[in-house]
Amino acid sequence: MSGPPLLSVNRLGVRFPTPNGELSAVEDVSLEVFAGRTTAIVGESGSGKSVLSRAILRLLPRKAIISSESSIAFDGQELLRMSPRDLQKVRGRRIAMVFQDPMTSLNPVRTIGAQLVEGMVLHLGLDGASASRRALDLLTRVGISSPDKRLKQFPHQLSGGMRQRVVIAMAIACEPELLIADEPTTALDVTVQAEILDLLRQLQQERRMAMILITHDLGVAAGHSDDIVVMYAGQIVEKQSTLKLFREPRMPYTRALLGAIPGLRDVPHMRLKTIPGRPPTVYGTGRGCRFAPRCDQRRSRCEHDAPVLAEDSAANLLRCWYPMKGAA
Amino acid sequence: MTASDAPILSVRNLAVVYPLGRGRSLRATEKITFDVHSGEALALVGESGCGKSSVARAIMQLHRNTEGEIRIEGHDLNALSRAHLKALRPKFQMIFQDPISSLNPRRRVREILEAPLRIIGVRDATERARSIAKVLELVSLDPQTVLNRYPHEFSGGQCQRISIARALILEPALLICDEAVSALDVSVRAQVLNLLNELRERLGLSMLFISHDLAVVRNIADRVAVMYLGRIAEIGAAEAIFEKPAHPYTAALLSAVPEPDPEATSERLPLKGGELPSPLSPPPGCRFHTRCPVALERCRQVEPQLIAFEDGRSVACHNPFALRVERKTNVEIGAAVGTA
Repeated sequence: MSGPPLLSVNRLGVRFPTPNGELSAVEDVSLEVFAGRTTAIVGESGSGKSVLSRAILRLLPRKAIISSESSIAFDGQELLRMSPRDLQKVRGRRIAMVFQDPMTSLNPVRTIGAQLVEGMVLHLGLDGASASRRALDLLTRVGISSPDKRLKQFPHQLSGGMRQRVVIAMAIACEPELLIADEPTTALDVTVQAEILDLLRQLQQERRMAMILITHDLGVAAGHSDDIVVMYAGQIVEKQSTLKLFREPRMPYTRALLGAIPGLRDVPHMRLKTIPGRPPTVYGTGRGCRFAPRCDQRRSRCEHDAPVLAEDSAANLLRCWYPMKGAA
Repeated sequence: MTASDAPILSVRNLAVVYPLGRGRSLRATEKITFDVHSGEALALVGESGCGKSSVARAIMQLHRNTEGEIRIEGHDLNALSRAHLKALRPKFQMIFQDPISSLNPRRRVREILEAPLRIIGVRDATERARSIAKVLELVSLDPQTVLNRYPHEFSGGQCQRISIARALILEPALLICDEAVSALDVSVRAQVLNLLNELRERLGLSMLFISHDLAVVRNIADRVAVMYLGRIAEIGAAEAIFEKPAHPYTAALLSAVPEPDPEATSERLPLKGGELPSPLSPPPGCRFHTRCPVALERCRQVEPQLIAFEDGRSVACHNPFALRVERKTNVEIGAAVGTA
């Protein structure tokens, strides 16, 4: 990894007030993202991965409470203390985001062209004509056929895969340095998913963008990331290079998760490894490790004493008192 | 499976038709023919819009505008009177994708599980209680803690267990699972898949398993039918189809599955055009030819019929085995991830 990180999240904590007290959604999350690399954030539903991504762009609901020691630095600037005006210059221009459902990120009553041009006029100061030309180039770049026709169409006239391509074109229109993709292919069919993931990877490499890929699918993360961050119950439990994480997962949760995925080359009817119980929906109330109740490696310390997030010399992260060694 | 075994479910030339008004109609599936034998799991796979759920709904008689024949244990469902159909219903049951919305939120689990028994006329309360206890044990739920609670008090995985229990309480011969594990988290999905595999083995249950997830299908299916735009592209033993897909669409589909192995270097087979044509105006000839990378001139004109191969599979393609999935993988990693 060369140079300083483009994005550096430090001790991020997000809580939501509820009638029954505050609910912790993300706690003590620290991670770094570098130019030209893709960091995947994986976790089951409720693990806090989407809250984390929205916190980076400050897209959280107003009632969200961000803990005071939190810091999110982008290219040396503190995003959490930035004025709305300055934030506007970063959001959409230097950091862009692609969401799961392309229909909700597109305005249904405006043409594709109008929506593509808007960002470029706003952020890059282009005039209408040159923005339109660029919109045409972008649609071609993301693999949309007859782009001049598409510019005049409305979102509902496009298929799901096509819409997601448009959303990606909008996201890269201002040449962002960081792209956050939150489950970008979850709503798409498998053949379209593969095409969109390949497109994201090509764009990322071409432009040396940093990318955060949020997914629940370890298969997607395996083929399309350099590093993987595993989240459980609002915390990072492990971060390693993608290759090492699959080869030598150290946190028992990661290991169990890998064992629970059926594979194409598995023996039919093979009994999958399961994790007893289910992920907690309310957490941060008990002492000890949050995974302890479901962990087959737990010892008494795990139940009383919360493990801290430890970083080793290779910048790997691990939150576990008794990490596992050797191949999975 | 011996040839003399009569199939539990037998579908012949099924077409599911949706009227669109003004005399027009959409033929969501056509010429669908397959059998499901006792104790066997047949998976229907394909992408959205291929008609796999329409087939399931037609079998369950949730959609009656169909052509062709559906037989359950030899009885032609279209020829049965309402009363006879009702009497046959316990034999075939279904579980749905969204476990929470498929349970009535205002009924306790006890009432949810009792309903099927009441419908078939089990009047004796102790007998009903016995059936409920038995079925809850099958799906590993504790009667003490679940019976008096409402669906919203359970997680998705638990609700899916309750749905399975409701489907099994009448001791069906056939269970139709429509994307039954798609909405579940990885760790919970593994639990439900194990449960379904176990039930198939213990009860000799037959299954029609509808899914878009090929890795899940690999785990559960004995046979696979791949559907594309309302037709069966390829049907046969899971082993044969996963090892050596004959239809170019099957090959492309398999190559697109993201594998949980960073060193899997299998090449993705790209499709042309990328988009699914509209089922309202399907392409002439082979329906797949607009996206097929190995389409021949003939494919544009003549619709291929399902042809039986030596290994027992049938394929509707003029150019079978032209696309090959190359899988070079680190065996060690593959095995480690699989059996960890």
